Amino acid sequence: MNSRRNDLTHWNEFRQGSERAFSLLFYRYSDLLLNYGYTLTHDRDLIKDCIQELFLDLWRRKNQLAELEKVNAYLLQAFRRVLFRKIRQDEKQRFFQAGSDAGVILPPEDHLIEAESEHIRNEYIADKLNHLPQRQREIIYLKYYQNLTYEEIGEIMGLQQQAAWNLFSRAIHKLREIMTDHRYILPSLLLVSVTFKAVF
Amino acid sequence: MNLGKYEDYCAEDFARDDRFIRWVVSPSPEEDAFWKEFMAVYPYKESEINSAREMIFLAQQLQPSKQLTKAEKDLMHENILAKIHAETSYAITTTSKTPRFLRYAAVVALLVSCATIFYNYWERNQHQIYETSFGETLTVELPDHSRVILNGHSRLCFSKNWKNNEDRFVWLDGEAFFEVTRQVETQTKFSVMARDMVVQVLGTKFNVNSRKEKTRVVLNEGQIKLMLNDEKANPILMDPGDMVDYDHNDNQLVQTKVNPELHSSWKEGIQLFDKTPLQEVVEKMEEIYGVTISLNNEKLRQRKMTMGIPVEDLEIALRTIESVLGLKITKNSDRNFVIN
Repeated sequence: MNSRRNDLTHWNEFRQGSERAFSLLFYRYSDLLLNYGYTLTHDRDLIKDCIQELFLDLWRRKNQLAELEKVNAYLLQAFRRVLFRKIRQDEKQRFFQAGSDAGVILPPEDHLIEAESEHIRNEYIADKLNHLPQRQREIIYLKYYQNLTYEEIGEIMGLQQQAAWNLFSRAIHKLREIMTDHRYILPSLLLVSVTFKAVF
Repeated sequence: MNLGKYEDYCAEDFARDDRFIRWVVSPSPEEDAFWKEFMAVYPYKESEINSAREMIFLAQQLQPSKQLTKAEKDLMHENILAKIHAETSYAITTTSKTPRFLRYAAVVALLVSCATIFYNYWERNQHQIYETSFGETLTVELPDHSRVILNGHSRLCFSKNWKNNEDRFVWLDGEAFFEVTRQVETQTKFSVMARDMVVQVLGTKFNVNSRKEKTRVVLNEGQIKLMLNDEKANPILMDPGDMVDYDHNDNQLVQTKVNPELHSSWKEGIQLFDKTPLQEVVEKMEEIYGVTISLNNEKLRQRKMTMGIPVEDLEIALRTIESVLGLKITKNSDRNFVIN
């Protein structure tokens, strides 16, 4: 909670024009926004552009910004707005330059995997989770990573509080299914893989 | 300590409960104590709680944590600051002393005038307009490939926002021959808005002459429906060869059988007359050439004429009438003639 209070202090200093506080906020929140951005798109450059644009915009409007209770909720909401505006612009452009890829589908996550089983398990889960609808992934991120209330999430995603709760319930339900699945499927996947390795 | 609230919770309930999430995502001693106590009181909830925790941990793999490299962050940070500084120095040189409300007022005034200009421009551009002068015909192809031939001194107008799959409308002042294409798929109607009536068709050929008080519709092919602007009147269905004359002054409607080719012959350049009283011929001349021809002798007026006159050459038209009548037409001025 201490860091939260720090953030609020920085936020207020920034509103009064402190460039140092502004930079601190940027370094503190850029990763968080990047991660949130990934629930909305997989275009890293686009996310980076939006983070820059968000902070530029904040600086321009610093005199009109309000005092906050939670810096993260505000930044997430503002960031989402910038990103969606950019995506809409890009879509318009894409309309004229036919042929370029829409990039909605997740590229496979190539991570350095230590163990084969870990690899299979992760791939399995990543695959399942990536097939959650975008809004469900987004709300899971906002809830489990940013620990926001349904009210705050509703504001960010443009939903009524009740609708946010419903959406999250559906996401949870999906998660539960994936979890039950992987408890049964994963061992068999592992077995197949090990057998495969042993035979060939 | 509201332990009882969670008595009936299953894993999914826990997984969406704010307090539970807070405990798993950012644990604190108070929360630890609360949930330990809960499990002591409701030990059979342990498996549900573990499932819920597992769900949250599972969800965290949803998002393999991404990071910006130090270099990326520094570059972005530099970009932002560079832009800010560029803007700040610009702002210093251009800061104006105009009071804020005046600046807003100026913007509002500018917007209002832009909107007004734009609206006028837009309104004028909403309609496609074709006009002919006296003694001139013009063939117009509509967006649905229907053809309209405009006789002299006539005006045709239709929306630029034309859609073939919606009912089609054109406005006519004067005389025109229509060859309307049938929209086979959508069966959309085509309506000619004349002065006193609406001529509605699916696809056909017909002539409409709508000037001043009189409107005349002659049907060549197909079927049309006339709807008088007078709301009490029933619509009139016309078959090929039907001619309907409507007089605005006495509200008279006369339906007769005619040879429709005669009434649309003007579109080939020659207006044909078949035993037509000279009075009517003269009226037609006045109509398409914009001239006045005085006819003082009542006998002459009723004289039946069978002939063709060109619609785009006044000189020849007058000479043709002279030769058929065997009389001289006196020219008072460029636009004023006398037959006697």
